[in-house]
Amino acid sequence: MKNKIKKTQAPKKHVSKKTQLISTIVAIVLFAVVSVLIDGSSSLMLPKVFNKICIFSIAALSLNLVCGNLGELVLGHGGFVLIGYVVSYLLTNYVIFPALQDSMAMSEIYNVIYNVHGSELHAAGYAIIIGNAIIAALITAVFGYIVGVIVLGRLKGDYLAIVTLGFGLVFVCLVQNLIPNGFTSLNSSSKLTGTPMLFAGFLVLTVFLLTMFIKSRFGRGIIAIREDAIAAESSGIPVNKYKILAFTVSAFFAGLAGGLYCHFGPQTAVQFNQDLSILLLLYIVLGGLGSFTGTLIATPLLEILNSYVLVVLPASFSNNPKIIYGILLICIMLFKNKGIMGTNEFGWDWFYTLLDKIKLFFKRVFKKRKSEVAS
Amino acid sequence: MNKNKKGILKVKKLSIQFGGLKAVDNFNIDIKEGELIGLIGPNGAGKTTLFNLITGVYQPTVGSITLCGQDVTNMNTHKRVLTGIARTFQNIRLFSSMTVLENVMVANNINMHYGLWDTVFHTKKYKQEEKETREKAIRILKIFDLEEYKDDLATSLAYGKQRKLEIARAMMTDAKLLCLDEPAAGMNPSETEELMKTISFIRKEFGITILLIEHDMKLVMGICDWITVINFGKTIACGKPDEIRNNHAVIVAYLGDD
Amino acid sequence: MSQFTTGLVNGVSIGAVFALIALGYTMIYGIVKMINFAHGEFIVVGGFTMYGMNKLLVSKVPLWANATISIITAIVACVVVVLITERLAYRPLRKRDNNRINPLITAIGVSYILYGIFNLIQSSQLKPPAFFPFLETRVDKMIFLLAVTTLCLVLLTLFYQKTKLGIATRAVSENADAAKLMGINNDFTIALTFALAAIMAAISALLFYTYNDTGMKFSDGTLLIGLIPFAAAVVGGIGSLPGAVVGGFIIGMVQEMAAAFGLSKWQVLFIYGILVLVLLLKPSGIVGRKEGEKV
Repeated sequence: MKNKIKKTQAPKKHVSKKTQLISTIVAIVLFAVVSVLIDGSSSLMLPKVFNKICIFSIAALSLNLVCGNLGELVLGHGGFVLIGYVVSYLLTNYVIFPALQDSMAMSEIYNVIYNVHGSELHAAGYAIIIGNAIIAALITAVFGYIVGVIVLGRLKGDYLAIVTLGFGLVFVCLVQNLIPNGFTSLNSSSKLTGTPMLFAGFLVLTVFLLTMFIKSRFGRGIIAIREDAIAAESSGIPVNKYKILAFTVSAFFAGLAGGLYCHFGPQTAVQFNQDLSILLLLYIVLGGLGSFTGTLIATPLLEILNSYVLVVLPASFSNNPKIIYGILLICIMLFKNKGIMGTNEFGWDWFYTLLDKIKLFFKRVFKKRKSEVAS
Repeated sequence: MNKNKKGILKVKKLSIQFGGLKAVDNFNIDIKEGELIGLIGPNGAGKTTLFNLITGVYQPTVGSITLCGQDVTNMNTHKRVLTGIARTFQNIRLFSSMTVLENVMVANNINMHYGLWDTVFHTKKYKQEEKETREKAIRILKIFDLEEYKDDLATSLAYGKQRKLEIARAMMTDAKLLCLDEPAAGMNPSETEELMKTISFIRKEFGITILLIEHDMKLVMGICDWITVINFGKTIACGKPDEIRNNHAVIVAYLGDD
Repeated sequence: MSQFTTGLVNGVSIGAVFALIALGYTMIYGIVKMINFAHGEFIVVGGFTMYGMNKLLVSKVPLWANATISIITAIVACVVVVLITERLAYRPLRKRDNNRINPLITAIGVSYILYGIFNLIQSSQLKPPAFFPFLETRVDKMIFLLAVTTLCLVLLTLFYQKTKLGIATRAVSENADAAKLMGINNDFTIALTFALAAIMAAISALLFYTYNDTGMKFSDGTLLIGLIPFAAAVVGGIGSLPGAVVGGFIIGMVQEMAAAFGLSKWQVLFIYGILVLVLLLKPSGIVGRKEGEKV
């Protein structure tokens, strides 16, 4: 068996904290500009795809925390996203709009939320969506905590994966049967649609919060548990507590994604069965288990594939994305099984080292040209 | 044995049964502060099982374990670490995807108290505790001559240095009792020599009590205050290195009856 | 028939089918510790092959010949597909990695590919071949299904207990390294187990479409058969042959009793609820044994 020699050093270039801060701010500003441009674009598809990328990125990142950083395989994560979605749906249709309708006519409500042409969201609209999302996240976190407490002390590995699969399917069954009209009503048009800037904002927030979490003593402990749970416990890490913590935080962000998903477009075709759980797994495996950067690269790639590439293929393929996903999964597993980024994070150190390498490459190319021209 | 010294570990009538097999049978030991005790015996005698019992990986069927005056018999491993015990493992268990520095920083978790709020808002408490942990980690790495490797992946170190790292990590917990499980396993004579120096050094420097499982007789006889010998889960001898070396029962246990 | 009797008969019938499918899952998990997500699709391979062969032969040869040839062809097809998958997709990963996620993801990938291929070949519903017209009532069918499953269980048990290869397989399941040192060819043993599971899959297809003779669809592997028999295997005790059978009957009974009393929409809740309960109370399953971790 070939054994690649692992890298012993961190990337060669260490950029100063100031440069890191400036780079981060520039990146966020660029992202903000992109989202505003997308909002203003006339394409119907582009904002939807962008929104979906943001939402799915949040969901995938939340799964990566448990599967990648903690190292426990979870097969029913779609269930948590679903809880968030349902909370947001119930709040919108059974609490907020009825309350508003008590005092205002439907048309007046829309005037408060949207502007005259119905294309721009007003502060009230933003507030409703943000409120929904946060409440959805909190409630889902509670569910995550409960499931974690019940399950994590007793099971791990394959058994844990199977139990989470079971929970995911049970949630779907409950939603289908307890909510009047089940998924049909969940799929019907949402009364309130968010803007790309809103979803982009939540994505940036999620990335920040998760990164800070992973760099804290909690994150260190969680990664230590992944590497060697017994050594971690012998080093003073309360393994069970931290597993539950990881689960709860993961459920929080999954619920956030679900809550936002409810407001992602006028018509949502919601697939909350097994497929979503597996899809999210595919995203984080492609990007690299344990690497947030990887997820942030893989999710947009696959969503764009889904939305733009598949539709140009002959009908037999576009109705049937599964075959493409299957081939992709197998290829990743056989050839680059650590995913795009492996377990590496994309610190600014890496970025600038990469830039240096590119600069060096071009320098060599031009030197060659120069010497060829001279002779 | 100096009766005025504080008792660190008291084990009474400890037994554990796996199905029909009594892996540890009526084990007793009384370790005082600052002592360096050896635990030896043939392979399969129950030494690692004993460690697992003391550190909380296994629960005993019978008996009690008292650590620094506290009854830890029913405590899980993490709580025992809080009470003051740390260990290393027969097969070195480092956190392979983490750097040397991170491996050591993880073990200071019991001394850190900031919460999620502090994490999200990078409060003073967060910054201070992180800074202190990092500095403490570097101090300990310096003591073990590992500071130059602090940003390298833990598993990229040479075997002897990995073992030192494991011990350094255990020291981060400010433990009062350090349990070393065959620290010299897989080492060549010069690495073993260095290990002996390291163990003697930390004993002096930190005033720590050490319980040591070993097969390397040179190491055991060389540094231990006294030695307990077990076979088939039972204590068969206990005394100073010289006494043990000439003890008939011990010789029989290792070499068989002639 | 009363609701209870209907539920009982159907429960035992589908229970027998689930038991057989669960055997396939459990055999593979037992030896390579992998959840073969693609097993449902392998069953559909058997189903489609039988259908195709049957269509070819139906008016040309007597029924008994048709049935025999179709079933054998299905078995061959399943074994071929499974062995190719094992060789190309599962084995390289087994050699290279030692985590649990990768083989699982590969199995999911394989199931997706097969699903897609079936969808491409035949997206509309087919009528399953009727090989056993002498089975007229539900009770007749139940007895037949029980008989076949029992036969398979007996043969498998004999294989594992009495034959050299079977014992070798158990050795590899317990401790692969030790088995290698004893001169057992692990790769061959594992491939053999997969082949056996493939045979089980083909027979499962036969039984499934005898019970469920209304229609055969490309999506059956995932939507209809899917992971329910796997849940049954876990409930009984994954890795244990009798466990798979016990689990199969329990889950089959739960599913059909629920249907008989008009609670079909809660089936998922009952089935996976039982799964979760069993895993929490006795993770090794109803029949299974405990395994500890060495420190």
